Amino acid sequence: MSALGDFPIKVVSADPARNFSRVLAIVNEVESMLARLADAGICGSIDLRSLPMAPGDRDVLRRIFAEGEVSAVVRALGQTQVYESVVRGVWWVAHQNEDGKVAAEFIEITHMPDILRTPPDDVADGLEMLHAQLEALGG
Amino acid sequence: MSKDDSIGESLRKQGISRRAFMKFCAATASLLALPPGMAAVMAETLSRARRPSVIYLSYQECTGCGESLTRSFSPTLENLMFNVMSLDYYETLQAAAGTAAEAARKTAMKENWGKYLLVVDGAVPVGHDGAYCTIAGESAVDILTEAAKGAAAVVSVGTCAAFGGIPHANPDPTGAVAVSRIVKDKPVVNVSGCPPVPEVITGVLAHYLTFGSIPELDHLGRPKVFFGETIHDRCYRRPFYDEGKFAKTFDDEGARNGWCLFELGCKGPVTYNACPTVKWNQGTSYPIQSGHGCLGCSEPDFWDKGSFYQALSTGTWSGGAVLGAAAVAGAAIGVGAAIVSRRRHAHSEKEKQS
Repeated sequence: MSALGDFPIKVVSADPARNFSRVLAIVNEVESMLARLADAGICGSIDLRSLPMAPGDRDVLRRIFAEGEVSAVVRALGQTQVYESVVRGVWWVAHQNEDGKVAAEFIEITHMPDILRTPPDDVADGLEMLHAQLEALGG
Repeated sequence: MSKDDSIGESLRKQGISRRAFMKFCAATASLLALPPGMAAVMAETLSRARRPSVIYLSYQECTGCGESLTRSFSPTLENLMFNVMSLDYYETLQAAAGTAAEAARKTAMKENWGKYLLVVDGAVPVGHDGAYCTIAGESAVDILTEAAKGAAAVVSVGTCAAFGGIPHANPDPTGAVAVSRIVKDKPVVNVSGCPPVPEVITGVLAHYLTFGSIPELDHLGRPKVFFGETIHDRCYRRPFYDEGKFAKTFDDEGARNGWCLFELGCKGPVTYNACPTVKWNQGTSYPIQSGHGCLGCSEPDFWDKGSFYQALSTGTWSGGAVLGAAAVAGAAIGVGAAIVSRRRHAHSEKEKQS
């Protein structure tokens, strides 16, 4: 056996009548933050790793904040999956390592997550790279 | 990569973009429970800082802590952590051996005197003048004493280094003690656990690199950011405990439904650690999620406190009698456990002051 999926594990689906208090708390917090973004332009962020989550809680959250109009992939030290949810202004940002495991995961309440903006240092690097290309072309 | 380069310069020379570094900082800030906005501050501070020298010593240990450390985050992110510090001596990972290795340690100490971070895993045997653990003819206790003199701070990684751990367990034939029993005049951070959660080890190092200081500690010298709450308080099975729903055996209906493992010996109510939130194997799971109670491995003397499968209410962990009366009703247990926890904390504070 080489992979976890090879083990004969019986998967039992979550009990629909189970306790959703943890999910409810997060959704309420998102609602408050979204109201603040709408009223005062203040961004917010929820670090999902810092919260106690039962197996299945994340799936429920994913269903509520399902993928909307925008999605992007950042390829830096593994992939970062970013999408705006169907609840506009609420983004799901999952930083993965090279094995595809999640290293950090946030719900961001913002107009655009910072990870998608080009930092000034990277702009300088881009300019340097372009100068080198121009030189190579004899321009 | 020059030792004089700032962290930002050295990463840039390796072709790591600022955005990638921001991602690393976002993951690290998350670990340290810092507000997400702190990732940008962390990136700015770290990129301008010089790479600090780290000297890693190992004594009475099983290398589990080192194994844990090298599994933090992912290969890439872990490499990045090693790139932001200069790991100048670590027997498990270094290529050098014998006199060359010892010379490297002494050179690093001399060049960075007063500034290096000293990381230690394993307990230190003091019996028979330290004869039970010697490296290159010197006893562990002598090497540690000398290395600690020039350190800015000391990080005790693992329960053995933090509290004596298994080497210190009864009958303790070698007189094994915690690092803090040897090092008295430097700040010592205890990152306990057998082994500690990998990201907790790197998180403490990242905190030191970012803020130039050690994080706030609890009464046992552990960083509060990771050890501020009990496993029980952060456990996703806690609602079942409050409802009084307990698994009675490892294969009964309660176990299959994911009910609380208190009656199967879980030490979560009296154990402080970050397992329920940071989890293991890159956030996959932790013992309770995998169906086994917490062993209490980040607490002092966990090995000598009775069976792992005996409920706290009947065991030898402090305050068993208080818990016992409450074992019938889950909600009542919650109150009982909290009282025991507070009593234990107060007791330790008292010990510390005396």
